[in-house]
Order: sequence, then C-alpha cells, then structure tokens
Amino acid sequence: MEFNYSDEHRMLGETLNRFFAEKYTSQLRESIENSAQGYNLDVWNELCELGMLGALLTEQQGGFGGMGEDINILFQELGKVAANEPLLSAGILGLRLAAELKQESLVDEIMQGDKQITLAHFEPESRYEIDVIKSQATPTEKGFRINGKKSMVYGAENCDQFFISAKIGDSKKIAIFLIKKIVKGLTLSTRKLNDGKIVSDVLMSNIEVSSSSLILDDAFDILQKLFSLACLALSAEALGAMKSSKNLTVEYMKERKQFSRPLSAFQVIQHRCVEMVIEIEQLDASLIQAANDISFAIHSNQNDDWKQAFISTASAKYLSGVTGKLISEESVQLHGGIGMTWEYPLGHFVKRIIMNNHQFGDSDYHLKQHIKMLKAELV
Amino acid sequence: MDLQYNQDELTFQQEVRLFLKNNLPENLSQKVKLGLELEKSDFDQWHTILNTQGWLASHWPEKYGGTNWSSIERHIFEEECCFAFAPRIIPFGISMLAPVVIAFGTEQQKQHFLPRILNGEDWWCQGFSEPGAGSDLASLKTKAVLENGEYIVNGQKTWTTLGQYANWIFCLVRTSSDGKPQTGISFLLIDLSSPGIEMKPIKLLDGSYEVNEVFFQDVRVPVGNIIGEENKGWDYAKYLLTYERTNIAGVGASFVALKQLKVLASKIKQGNSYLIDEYSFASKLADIEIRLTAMKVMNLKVLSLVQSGKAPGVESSILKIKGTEIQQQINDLTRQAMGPYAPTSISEFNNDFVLEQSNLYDDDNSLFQLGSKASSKYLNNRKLSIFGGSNEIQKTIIAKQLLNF
Repeated sequence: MEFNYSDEHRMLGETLNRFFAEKYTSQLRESIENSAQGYNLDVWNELCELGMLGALLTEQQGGFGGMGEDINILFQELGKVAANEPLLSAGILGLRLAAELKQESLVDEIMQGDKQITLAHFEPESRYEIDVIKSQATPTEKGFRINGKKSMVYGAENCDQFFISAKIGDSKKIAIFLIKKIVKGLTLSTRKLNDGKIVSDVLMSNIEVSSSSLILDDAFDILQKLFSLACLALSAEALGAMKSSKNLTVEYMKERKQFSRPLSAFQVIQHRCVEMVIEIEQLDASLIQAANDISFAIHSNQNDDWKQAFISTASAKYLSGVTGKLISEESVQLHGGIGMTWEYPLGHFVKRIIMNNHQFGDSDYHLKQHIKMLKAELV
Repeated sequence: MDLQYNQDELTFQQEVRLFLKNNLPENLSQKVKLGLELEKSDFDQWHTILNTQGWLASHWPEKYGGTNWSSIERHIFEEECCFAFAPRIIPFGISMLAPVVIAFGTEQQKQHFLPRILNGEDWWCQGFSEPGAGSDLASLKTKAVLENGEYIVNGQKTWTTLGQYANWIFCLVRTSSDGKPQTGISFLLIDLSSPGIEMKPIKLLDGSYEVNEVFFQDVRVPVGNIIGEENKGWDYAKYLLTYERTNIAGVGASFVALKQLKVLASKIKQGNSYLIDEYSFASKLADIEIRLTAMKVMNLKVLSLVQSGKAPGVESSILKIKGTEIQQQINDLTRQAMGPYAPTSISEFNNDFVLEQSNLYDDDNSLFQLGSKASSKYLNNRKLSIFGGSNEIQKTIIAKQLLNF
C-alpha cells in the first residue's frame, strides 16, 4: 500500500498547476466567453506542446500515462481554474478512443496537434444510457448509409472527424464509424453553453460512407471502459472546482465583516465551512479509489477488475454530483450577493461543478447503477 | 499511489486470519455476531488469548510488551478481528492510559501498571466528564488538595463507561484555580477500592447499563499516583485523545454491519418481493456503501500519515465525524429494515420469539436475531456523535486548526 504519488505524477500536477495559475486570468476567461471555439487556442496549443495529451495515453498507446491517477490529477488541475480546453472531448473521447480502437496514424496526427476528433454517441432518447442508440447504418454496395441524430456533442464544431456510433441493419450491437465532418447529409446545429463551451447536435441524413469507415462492429466494451474514464475525468474536474470554490469561500469569510466581526467568527459559518471541507475530503478519497481501480483494471485487463472499476467510478460520479451540489450552493449562500455576480470568479466554478453532473450520468443515474451492482452481488 | 496491499502485508493478513481461525473461541465470536451483550469474563478471555500471542497491546513499544507492527499492519489486524467477529479490545487501559504512562509516567509507574494492564489484573475506567463539564471539559471541578503526601479528592465524575468492571480509574482533577481553567488540572490514578468512592449505574434509554456515576468523598490518593507534573494534566489528556485514534472511524465494524444489513434486506420478504427491491431503501443502502468505501480510503490516508511519522490532527476529527455518522446511518437503516418487528425491547427479547419469527425470514435465525436488536442498537448508538468530543466540538476544532477561523 502506497499513498504518495510517484515523482512523475507529482510533477504532472505541479506543472499543470503552475501553467494554469499563470494563464487563467479574468481577461482570458472573458476572451473565451467571446470566442468561437469555446476555449483559448494558444492555451490549448501550449498544453499540447507541454505534452499533456501524452498523459491521456498509456505507454503502449504511445503516451506516458493514461492511468486512473493521470486522469485524476490532470482533470483536478483543469477544474481548479475551471479551464475550458477540450481535454475530455478531444482528449479522452477523441485521442484515447482512437488509441483504444488502434487507429495509430490518427493517434499520431492528433498528438501533433494537427487535428481534433471526438465521439458523437448519445442521442435525444438515450439520456445517460450507453446502449440506447437508434442511429442506423444500412449496408450498401460501397459501404453504409447512415441516418440518425446525436445530441450534445461537445466541441464538435472544432473537429475534423467524428467517431459515431450506430447499429448495422438488425444488429443489436453498437458499431463505431469514423466519418468526416464535412460530408453530404451531415449538419451541425451548434450553440454556446453557460460556461462558454460550444456543443452541437449532429444530424445524419442519408450519409454515404465507404466500408472502411466501419472501425469496430461491436464497441460496447470499449465504450463502457472509455466512459468510466470520462466519469473519472468529470468527477475529478468537478472536485478541482469544488476545492477552489471552497477556498474562495473560506478566505472571503475571513475578510467580510458584518456586525463588527468577520463572518468566520460566527459558529454557524464555521460549521458550514467545515462540512464543505469534510465532504470534499470524502470525494477526494472516492476518486483515489476509482483511479486506483481503473489503473488496476487497465493493467490486468480482467473482467472482474473492470467490474470493480465500474462500481468505483459510478460511486465517485454519484458522490461528485451530490457533493458538488452542496459545495456550489453553500459557496454562493455563504458569499451572499457577491457570489451571484459574473465578475467574481466563484460563478465559474459553480457552473463547472453543476454542469459536469449533466454529462455521462448524474448522481441519480449512478446511484441506480450502484444499486444494480449491489443487488447482483447479493444474488 | 497504490491501494492494494503489498506482498508483506498480504502475508501478515494471512497470519492474522490463521491465528483468529485457530484461537478465537466460538462462544465469543457467536455472541459478537449476534450482537449479544459481552460480560467482563468474555473480554478477559479474549484479552488473555491476545496477550499470550503478544498481540494485545500492538501499538506499545516492544520493550513494554508491544509489537513492531506498522500502522498498516495494525489496521489489517483490527479489520480481520472485525471480519472474524472478535470482541473489541477494551481501550481504557491499553489504548488510553498506557500511552500516557509510557510517555509521561515514572519508571516505577511503568513497571507497576503496564504489566497489570496486559495480564488483566487491572481494569481501568476513565474519569474525565463531570455533570457540569461535558464538551467544556476544562471547567471540571473535582478537586484534589495535597495534604501530607496524599491528595484528598472530592467531587463527581460521570459517563464512566464499564466502570462496574473496573478496579482503577484515571481522573482529571483540579489542583489549582489560578489562571486559565486548563492550567490547573492534574492527571491522577485512583484505586477504586479506596474508602470514600461510590459508583452508581446510569440506565440508558435503551435499557442498558454501561455507564456510571462515580462519587469521591475525601478519597486519599498517594502523591506517587500523579502522572507527570502537577497542573500539566490537560496536556497529557490532549495527548491521550489524539493518540491512537486511527481506528476512530470504525471502518471494519461498519463494513461488517453493512454486509449483515445487505443480506438481511435480501431475505426480508414483502409480499412477493424482497426489501432490497424497494428502491428508496436500496438507494439509502447504496449511498451508505459509497460513503463507507470513501471513508475506508480516508482512514488509510491517515494511517499512511502515521506511518510516515506524522501525528494526525484534524484528520482524526474528520474521521470521528464521518465514522460516527455512517455507523448511525447503518443502525438507522437496520432498524428500518426490521419493519414492524423493530420496536422489540432488549429486555423482552428471548430466543423463542426469535425462532418463531425467523421462519418468516428464510430460516435465517442469526440474522433475525441480530435484526431484532436493531432498535435498541439504534437508540444506544445515538451516543456515538456525543462522546469522545461531540461532533460539533470536532467541527469547531477543524474550523480553528485547519481553516484558521
């Protein structure tokens, strides 16, 4: 048993921490809010130059990390400044998926920062269920004709290509295709989110693709594993934002005076701040467990170990949802009016925490997953 | 970062398991498993078995009869004891007084008291709380006045857990009223057979007797029974309270209780389905399991701090709050699981009743027997968030020490 991070992991955290602390000024955030990409191109390019994409891939995949701990550390740092750069949409859902699907040349292109790619999977009726997919791929003479609608695809407008999921003919299996963004019959309807990111619904209407576009005809296992990485990433990012949110609140309680005393002198305030601290500690522990179990499963690649990793990530995502709601609401409430303003940085953290709960399953969804697994164990 | 036990730790775990398998008497583990009350002779029996193996006071220095286990190994030992339904080790002498004697006592005190704690000659109890001094412990009033080489003690202690089994009590007494309340307190060891001491049981709301009031009237205590220096008792008490609190969260015991609850919920019938199929019940169960798993990691984090030579501070307070919350939630949900049978009083409880009712529950007598104590346990364990520094006191400590409020 070892609770300290390795030197490499410590350095990863410190490098990112320094980088973001310097970059993420209020001017930068303002410019991101007004940008077409929903993030800052220079910051993204510098992140790529720093080799951060390599942290998302295992050594076998050509990276230097790719384990649960790498994702936990990297995304917590991202969350601490509520950064908008697409390390989830282009990183995990694009690059990592390309690597899992053994698309080596694609991996190389993405690593060089030349192109972005992401996964368009969920549909209007899927809500958070992986296997509720209605998009259809009909075999044709040259390949396939694809019809369907994908919803809430983060950063789609910034990509050159998409992985899309669809069912072939009558098959119940989920297949993965690689398609170009600019192709006849594909339209994006793009909008801005309340944290400045951009998202698109992808409409596929009789798209004709070649047979080589079919990458994998049964991708459920790969998607399930990929989504557990995404859940870890989102929970870690939310946790980073919670830590910043709590720190801002604690400092403000010491500065702000009412009734001739700092707010921190009131016991009701003290206890509520401490409750935030304790719940954050609990979430931190839950993420350490999830990261550990994911790393263990990646190493062993045994089904039982992946099952354990799914339980742990569902737990972490559940806790990050309920803890996030508490931290966000308490931070704003304890700040009072100032916490409601656009100008004060708290709002950025609050939005990131709450909105992360709406991706890849909210707390209710993951609690339900946990119950299913708990009952399966008892049978 | 690696949460898996390494090879040495796994070997140690096997060694502990084997020991428990061969040495833990079934009459004891059965009682613990069914939640039956343990008597003094039960605790003595288990202490003796552990002492023979040299594992009773694992955290003491080796020269006084301890082991050289790492904090992870101690954790493994405690966890395995829980899983095997071993009785708990009574902490008053072994985990509370002994570290203070070892750190601040005279050589003579060490030579005299430590072996007697190990061999069971002395059963210690704690004399800190008073009727007027609970969370505000430093306001204690029990007075000790030095007269001709003896302290004359007058006053009253309360909430003295298992004092009915004890022959010695370690007390915080007031030896000075100058300065801050904390600076006039001394740490005194008192023989309970001394004239002028009276112990009266306090009956708790669940009907159990585990705490007592202790009255002192002109009790004469030899001056040699003071620990360290006069008026420094508060420091020693603080040391006692922060020492050896790594198991404060009760993680192992909670895992066992939760496991029992899960099995219970999968056997209790409700028409044609089982309690576990009830979504609102299952969601509470899952929530507790998720938090308990996180707490296990929080606990291990503190252990690794201790391992690297740091003394846990606010971490202990966090574990105390979280650990007691989770234990109470498990008790609460177990009571809920028992449905209409939950209100059975502990004093009315008998085996015939259990046997009769257990037919409803897939013939699992032991589970029903345990479950039928659920409401008593629920009531009794309301104490968890009150004793050992109430959870509100812990929050104030964290606010001051961690947040600098």
